[in-house]
Amino acid sequence: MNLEPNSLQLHSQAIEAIVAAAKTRVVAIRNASHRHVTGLLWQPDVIVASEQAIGERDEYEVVATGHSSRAQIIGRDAGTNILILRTSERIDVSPWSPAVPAIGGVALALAANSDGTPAVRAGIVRSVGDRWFSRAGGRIDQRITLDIRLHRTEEGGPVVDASGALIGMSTLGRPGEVLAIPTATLNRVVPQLLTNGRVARGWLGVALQPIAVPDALVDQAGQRVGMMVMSVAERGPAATAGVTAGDILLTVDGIALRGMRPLAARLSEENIGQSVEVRLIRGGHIQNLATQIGTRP
Amino acid sequence: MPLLVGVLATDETRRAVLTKLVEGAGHRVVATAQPDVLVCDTKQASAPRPTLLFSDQSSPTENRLPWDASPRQIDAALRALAAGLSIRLARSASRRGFEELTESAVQSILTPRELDVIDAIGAGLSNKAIARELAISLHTVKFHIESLLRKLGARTRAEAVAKALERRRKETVEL
Repeated sequence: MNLEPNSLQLHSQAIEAIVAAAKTRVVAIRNASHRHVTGLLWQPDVIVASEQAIGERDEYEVVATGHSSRAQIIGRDAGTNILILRTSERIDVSPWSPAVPAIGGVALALAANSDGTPAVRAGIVRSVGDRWFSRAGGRIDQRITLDIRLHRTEEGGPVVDASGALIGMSTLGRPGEVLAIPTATLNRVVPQLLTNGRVARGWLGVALQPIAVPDALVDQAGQRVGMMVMSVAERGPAATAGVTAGDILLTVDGIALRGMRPLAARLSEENIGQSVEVRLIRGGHIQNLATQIGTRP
Repeated sequence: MPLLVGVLATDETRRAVLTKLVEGAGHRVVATAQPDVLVCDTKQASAPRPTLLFSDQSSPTENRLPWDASPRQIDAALRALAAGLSIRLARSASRRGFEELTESAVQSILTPRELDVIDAIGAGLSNKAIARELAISLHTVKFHIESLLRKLGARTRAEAVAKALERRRKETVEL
């Protein structure tokens, strides 16, 4: 009889060991009506969860293997889909070690049942792309998609690699797509949420839609596409500079606005307070205005 | 004519909630063996009657409504089920996931004039009325509409209006 475990048994034991090691750090976040979503214990009294999965009320109960506690939302950022809660009890945890996600690498999405017991989904890292911007304007360091199905209650749990290192937090993307918000993004955003309750983000105070530059102005503008100002926030930086609805923005600081991404990148938190020159079309003429990047309210 | 609705609940609290939802939609909760429709709070393996499930998931799964569905939605759902149809939440009514900023291909981005025209179509104006409103010729209006249909990938004016709205919702960003 062969007493050596076969490779399938080893594979199985490895997954079991990762789940066993991580289970105290995977929590069920329950509201008063006992509906729950998953969260991950980030540090002894801080839970990280999916912003889009959690409503507006403040009081939650956090339950995991071996502990439970009351918890309150202390910060959220829709831009990166990160929300944090502070627990009333401290739970001893070692910090997560970050993973470098590799396409095709094993990924385990851990989740909590409503009683706090762990659950796990297994798959692989489907794709790893460059940094990207969410519709809410947040910058996410890598675009990681997973070949894993996830129930709504399982969103917000840790996604780990074959060594148990943290790839990121599971997040439901567009229908049928499961993402991981990378550990690097969590590392960047959670400290800001702990300090300010939100993420400072550059702001011009305009709602913009891509628009084709009218043919007569293409040559002079030097580009075919700009961004039409649909509305201007009262007393925002754009309003102060004299931007009005109907203007077509061409460049901000010389960066052509062929789409939203270059502008979203220009408005990162490091650039708050900087002056920028905006080139725009108004009433059939091209003109320049100076404004300052403000802080999103 | 109110429907006769049976309630299958895991406990008395849930039963009271379900009863309230049914009655709020203008129907009667009954205990007979043959109700028109059943409502329940957990998935039934084999329900004897058409069944509406209330759940936390707002995923567009068949015959399922979120707990915060409006009385109008509940009424419509119960009637549809009683008539032998199945119901599904419209995609836009279900919660959207965390999505990327999307950008249209350059050649399909609308011009300011085309936006004026699509807004006018959306307001129900005829081609003649649009020409008057925008002070352009009828021929130019038709030219813009052709271009709109092509850029939006629409076959009819109504489809173009819907697609333009959807695009505006997706592409408008506050910065």
